[in-house]
Amino acid sequence: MGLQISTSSSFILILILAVAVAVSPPAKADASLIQKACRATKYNDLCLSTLKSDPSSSRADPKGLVSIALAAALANATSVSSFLSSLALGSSGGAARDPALSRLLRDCADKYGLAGDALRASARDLAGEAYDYAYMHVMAAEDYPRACRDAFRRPPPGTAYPPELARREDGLKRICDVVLGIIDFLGS
Amino acid sequence: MASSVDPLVVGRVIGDVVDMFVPSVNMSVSYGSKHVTNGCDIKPSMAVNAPKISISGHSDELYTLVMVDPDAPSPSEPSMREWIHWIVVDIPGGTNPNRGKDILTYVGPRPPVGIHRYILVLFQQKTPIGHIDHPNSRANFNTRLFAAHLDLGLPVATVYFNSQKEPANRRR
Repeated sequence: MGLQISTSSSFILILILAVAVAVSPPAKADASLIQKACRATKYNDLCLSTLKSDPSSSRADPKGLVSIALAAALANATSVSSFLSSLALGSSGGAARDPALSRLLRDCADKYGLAGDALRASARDLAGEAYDYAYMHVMAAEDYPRACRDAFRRPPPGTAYPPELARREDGLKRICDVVLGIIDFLGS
Repeated sequence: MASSVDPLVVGRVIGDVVDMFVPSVNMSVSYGSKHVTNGCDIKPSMAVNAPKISISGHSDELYTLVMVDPDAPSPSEPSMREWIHWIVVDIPGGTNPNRGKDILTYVGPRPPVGIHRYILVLFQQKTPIGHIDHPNSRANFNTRLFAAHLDLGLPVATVYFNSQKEPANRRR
């Protein structure tokens, strides 16, 4: 008799626990996924602001988060290209009067264009789940701005590297680093 | 002379990527303190940045360097053969790729599966190249066609190393 009672008590206990788990509110996977992903990057704050500025991020899976960050990086590279084109055209007349600077700016626009191409290639490899190749394309995208900066330094003594360009170079590097961090998170 | 390309034949570099050739230029490649010899192992973390390369030859000669992975994405199914990692043109003889024109920036190895060969091929140019159209994609590059398109002829030097994915505890 005692044995029968303890068995049915255990059964009821298990039943109560099972119901409790079933009706408990779903874990906030969305918010904590973004937080976990961004902690894996070099620039947590930039990552958070980039991802949260896209409303679809709260429902995105890790691959979707990479995709959002890649789109932001591509927008960044494109805006630098536009900025360089406007500098080269020289609204203030400065660049237009200096053929060496003009040529440097065109070379740089070319490099940032290549960065954009690399980021688009990364998005294609991401879609195809070739994550290591998506990663490598972002490494390339991140390196092209350095080539622009190096061009200003050669041949010595070189030409002064515009601070507005240095700021934008840094911006693209940082967003690319964020993308690399999330791809690593995706693979972990 | 033929014996100096034996490792390239055994490693199927000659065959998969380039045709039989006679090396005529010395090319020395190092990642940090590690000198690259045919078939040696290089960890991806050691090859994040471009290797130091010096080439022989006369300063009035110009050379083109490419680095390819014929084993992309995996050696057993290389559907992306060849994945192009680096293109530099107009490298003066007796110098290094920093003195040339970077057409496609260097990207270090990140082999997803298996052991990949990473092959550095040096060609001598007949004329200055200056600017060329960038390949649309890094995948499915063809070194032979690229050389034919630029009238580069057969390679003058080639060296390759092996690389495979490192355990996940490596830090970027």
